[in-house]
Amino acid sequence: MLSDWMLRLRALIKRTAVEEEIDTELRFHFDRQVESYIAEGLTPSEAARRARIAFGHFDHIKEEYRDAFGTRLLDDLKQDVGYGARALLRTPGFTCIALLTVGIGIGASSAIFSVVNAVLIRDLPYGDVTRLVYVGVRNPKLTDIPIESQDGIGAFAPSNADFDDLRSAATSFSNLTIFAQDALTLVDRDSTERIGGARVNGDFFRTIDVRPEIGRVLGPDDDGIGRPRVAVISHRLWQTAFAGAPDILTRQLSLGGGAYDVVGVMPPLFLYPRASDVGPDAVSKVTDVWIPMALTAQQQAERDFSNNTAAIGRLKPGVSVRDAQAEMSVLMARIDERHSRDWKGWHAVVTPMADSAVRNVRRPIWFLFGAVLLVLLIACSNAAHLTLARAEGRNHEIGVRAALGAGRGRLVRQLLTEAMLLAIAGGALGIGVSYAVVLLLPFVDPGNVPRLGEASVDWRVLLFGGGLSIFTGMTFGLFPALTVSRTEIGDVIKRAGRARTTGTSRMRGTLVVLQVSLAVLLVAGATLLLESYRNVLMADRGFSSSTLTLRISLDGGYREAERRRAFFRQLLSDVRALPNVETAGGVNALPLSGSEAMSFFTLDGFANKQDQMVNTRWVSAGYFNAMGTALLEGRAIEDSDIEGRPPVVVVNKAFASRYYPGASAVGRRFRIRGLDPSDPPRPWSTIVGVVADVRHSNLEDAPPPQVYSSLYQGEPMDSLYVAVQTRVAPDAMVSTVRRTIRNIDPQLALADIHVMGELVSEATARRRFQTTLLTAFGVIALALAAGGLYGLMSYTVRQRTREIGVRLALGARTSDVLLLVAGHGAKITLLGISIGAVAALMLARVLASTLYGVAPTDPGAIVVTVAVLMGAALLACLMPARRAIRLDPVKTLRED
Amino acid sequence: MSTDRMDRMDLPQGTLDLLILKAVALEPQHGWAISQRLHQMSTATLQIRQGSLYPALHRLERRGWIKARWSTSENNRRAKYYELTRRGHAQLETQTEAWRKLTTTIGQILESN
Repeated sequence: MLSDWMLRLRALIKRTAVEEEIDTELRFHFDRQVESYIAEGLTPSEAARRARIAFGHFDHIKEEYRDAFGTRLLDDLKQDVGYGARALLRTPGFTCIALLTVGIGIGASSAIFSVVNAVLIRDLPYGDVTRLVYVGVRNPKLTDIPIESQDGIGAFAPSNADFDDLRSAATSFSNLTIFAQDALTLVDRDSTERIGGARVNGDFFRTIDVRPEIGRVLGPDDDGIGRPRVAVISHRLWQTAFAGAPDILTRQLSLGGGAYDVVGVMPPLFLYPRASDVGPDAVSKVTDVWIPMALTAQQQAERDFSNNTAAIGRLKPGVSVRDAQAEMSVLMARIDERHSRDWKGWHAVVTPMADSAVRNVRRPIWFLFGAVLLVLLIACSNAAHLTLARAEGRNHEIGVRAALGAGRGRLVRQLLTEAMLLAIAGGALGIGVSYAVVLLLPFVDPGNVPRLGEASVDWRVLLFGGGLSIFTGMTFGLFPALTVSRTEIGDVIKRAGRARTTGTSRMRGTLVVLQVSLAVLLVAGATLLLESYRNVLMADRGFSSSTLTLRISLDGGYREAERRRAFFRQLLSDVRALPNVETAGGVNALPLSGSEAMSFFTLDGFANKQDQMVNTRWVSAGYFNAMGTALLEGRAIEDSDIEGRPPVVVVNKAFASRYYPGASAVGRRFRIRGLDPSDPPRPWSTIVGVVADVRHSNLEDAPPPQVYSSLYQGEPMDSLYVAVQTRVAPDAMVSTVRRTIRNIDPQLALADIHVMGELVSEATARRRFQTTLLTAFGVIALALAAGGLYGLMSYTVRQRTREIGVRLALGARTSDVLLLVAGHGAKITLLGISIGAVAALMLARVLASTLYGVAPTDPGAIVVTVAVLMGAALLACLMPARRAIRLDPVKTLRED
Repeated sequence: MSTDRMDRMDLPQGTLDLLILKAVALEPQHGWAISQRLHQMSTATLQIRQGSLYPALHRLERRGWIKARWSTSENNRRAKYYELTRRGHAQLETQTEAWRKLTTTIGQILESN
């Protein structure tokens, strides 16, 4: 009813005005009554007395009014909050511990939620991303290439000619675009820097549907030979290279190949493609410059091979990914006919874009989120435990209040209010903690979790934290409140607060068992991950971590093969001649650089199969020494292995044992087969040596067969990685090496200067991220569970003080008392540990794919976990037990 | 019969409401006048504790049967006046009718031996 709600609302909003009105009205009545009595001839004081009797109790009437208004609940709440706050302040120790517990639980959960939010929930900064798909191609002949198992698209981009054919025939897409990632050299006065770039066709920005921050994006008119050179840059680059200059649209960008007019700046978070979008072939972590593809007619006609990174389609409304896949399959089957005989077998793969970027991190992140929720659960049960203990200490007070007429509902509400106060204060603390954790995240950021760096405490995280506070408050407040309010009033008062209700102590025992078992679960998980991480670090990688590496790219001045070879030879000999340099060598692709090359090959005197491929690298003399890769047999590549000399190769151990098991590979003949059977056959090379296996593509998989040819006996490359083994700390040599190269050619850009250990660190970063967090959770869980156990044990000792006193007085030995107390703790701990161990065994299966060199059921991990927990439990039990045996029997007996 | 005892007796549900509606039916009245009027109308046999009048007034106001406004009383003080709304009029009629029927029926039962 309208009038009803209006009145209620008014009573709520204008409390004082309404109260005053009631007062005025009642006062008016009272005064008139007094007046009328006086008129009847009573004395004023007698009149007032009679009026009071006739009227009834003022406050009582007002109370009825309030009830009718529904403001009673609010008044009660105010009272409860005030009372609760005072009660909490009276027990600062309890309050601090409970706040800390809840704060850590909520803080950790909110922080991990901010990661979930940034990586998995928050929208990508593109137009409707659910309609974007990658259109890739696969060929069964290339399934050995590790790209399949890695991040990113999981397929090759179509070649230029294939893409053209697909685009002209496809009807599933409103737009279809292709781009190639490319590392560009940014020339800024006298320094050069490598930055991530993308060469895009005219439909790129239209397909992705993203608007520039200023200026314009690239369109079809920009893409073509002879068009003006234009570039769109990232917000980041605008800020760093141009210091955010407002006249940026009139400026030029000096890239290796020439100057480009800046026509637009993208919004801050748009850095597509990122390394996590395109997988292991990524040439840079993010993209800062977009320039037109401008293909030549010859490039346009390429069919078999592609240097492209990916093709993206925007699905027309109403077209599903499956529809698009069906159409692409048909089209690609037709296009496949146009491929040369050796390369037939291409088929199309359509994958949702939103999915592919996070495919490999979704599981680990949800896993961490689940783990942190377990921590929260432990924190909750710990807080419940504390609240229960405290409520029991107040049994007497509660009994008295109940006896004075407080309803059970009111008592529950009072206890719940206190819990909510704690939870909300703890939640506020938790939000603070999550801010701190988010600030610390960059230090464990593995760099290959997409958008992890963007994790922040935004409204979703605040909402999540707030919701958690309320939820935890309800959880840890409601159970104790219900348990305690159920206690018999008379009972409590009779025993003068010494009441020990079996209900609550069973509840407390259960809570501690829960904590212990959850802690076992988390510690077991952390132990398995730690062991895996150690195994990855300890695994024989086949190269030294202290080797200094850098990359040098040749520019347009090195068109002729002979100039390139001459430059590399000069460079390596100059570096080798430096003081404190042990040796130096070159390679086309370092381990962990994300680049692998494969070739068809034939072995002399071997049942060769069609399509057999092997990983190939080109190295100079000194490379194996510089990298610390052991020579197992024969000789390495030497300076004399140059063009015109008999071609030689070195193979790795995996190659030798796969193709020549039980025999020596040295002296056998190997040759690379042309990509096209009509190509003239390459000359035979002789296998002159066998080296140790090197983990090139990642640190966790057994290395595949690998062939190393001489750098000077193949096509000269336009860039080279240089590996330097130094006699002093590698960092100290960087400037010297840089100077040496500048002396040969000051124009050249150096990039990717790393010590190999840094690449190892980068390659293990995601594992470290996961392991660090889970270990932190395990430690927190352990501390909380130990705290809970300690609390329970000291409570038990307190409860049984009298009993222990009697026992001691009757001559029990201290060891008996110790056993009595510790036995109770041991029972609870063992129960918790066994439940937790069973749960851990089941949960370890979830982890199985993340483990390395350790079985999910690894007994070692379980033993460590149980030992750690037993240790913590022992400490938690011993301290109260020691207190128990120190009790003075006389004193305890006199206490009652 | 002492007034105290009358007071403790539970009036049938809604009886007080009916009496209040009746008391304000003629013209707007403030609370004290209503209590006096009830006292007069019942010729003192029925004395309601004056304080309990106010929650009842409030209840009727919330139901939309009476409405209140502040005005100046006969002795120049601010007082809250209650008057019957249209819905209150209708309510008074139906309730009066219902009450008559009830008392007649109960009377018949009690008198028929």
